[in-house]
Amino acid sequence: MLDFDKLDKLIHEKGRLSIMTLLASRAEWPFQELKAQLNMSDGNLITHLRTLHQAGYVSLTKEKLERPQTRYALTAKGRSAFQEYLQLLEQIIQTGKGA
Amino acid sequence: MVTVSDAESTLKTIRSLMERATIYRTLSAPTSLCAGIFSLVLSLFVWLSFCQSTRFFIFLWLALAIVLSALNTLLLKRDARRRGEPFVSSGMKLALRGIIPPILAGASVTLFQLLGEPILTELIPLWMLFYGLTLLSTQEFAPSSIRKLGAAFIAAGLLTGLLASLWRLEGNSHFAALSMGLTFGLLHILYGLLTWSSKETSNGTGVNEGL
Repeated sequence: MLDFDKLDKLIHEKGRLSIMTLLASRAEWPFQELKAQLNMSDGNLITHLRTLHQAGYVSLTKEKLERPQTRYALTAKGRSAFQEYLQLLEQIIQTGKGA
Repeated sequence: MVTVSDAESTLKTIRSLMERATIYRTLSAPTSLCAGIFSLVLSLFVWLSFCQSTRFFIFLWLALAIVLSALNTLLLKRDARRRGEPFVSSGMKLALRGIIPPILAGASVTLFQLLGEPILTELIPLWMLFYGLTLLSTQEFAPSSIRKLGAAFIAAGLLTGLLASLWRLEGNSHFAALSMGLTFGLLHILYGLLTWSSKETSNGTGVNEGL
């Protein structure tokens, strides 16, 4: 059993972790594609994105094409936090296996 | 407090989500089945010698390719709408960048043949090779079945070209019909049947349940 206190709580929440994972897989994601991939409601997704944006992990770009579209991307801070989160998970696994 | 297995499970889900998020399928299972069935019918038509002219043979297959491309586009559009994604998604843009060069190369070779005296036993292996290359050009983000179909077409193209050269089959309409039927017909039907109900065709990641 190991303590997860060092894990970034902001990322560790399952909805936000899904969002961070998708954002890490491509340069940017339109809101509708994120929603479709995650099967989340508009409200739920917006709330999580707002939390991540306020933490400086996610940037957004608003475009006015045929209809308004918002695209989301990881910031350098967000990418670094996600990488640290993954590294910590791996360390926990290695430590657990070594014990 | 969580266990090591929780950490492993989380990492596994993250990996799975990243992989599935980057997959884009350029050929739908229904289109593949239609392509296979129409190709078999067309091959039978040629086999029974209803198609005497080489140019007519080429135009028939080109017409089928255009109809099936239109059908595939409609089905991809319908799938994108069902998932709530834009039709011209980042996945499609990535796919188009990969498939356009081999398609243009195949179209150019066909045009050059039509401008001269077309030789089917040269053209058919080239069609298979360029089609295989088209499928393989999406391999970085395509499901494994597309990669296998592409590899099968490459192998079939090489084998067909080799057999046609060794057996000196220029102008043999039965060989042309058989090779087109076995590849564009049977391979597409096999692919369509195998992928129709497989997990690969399911959309969405079900992240809320997975994590």
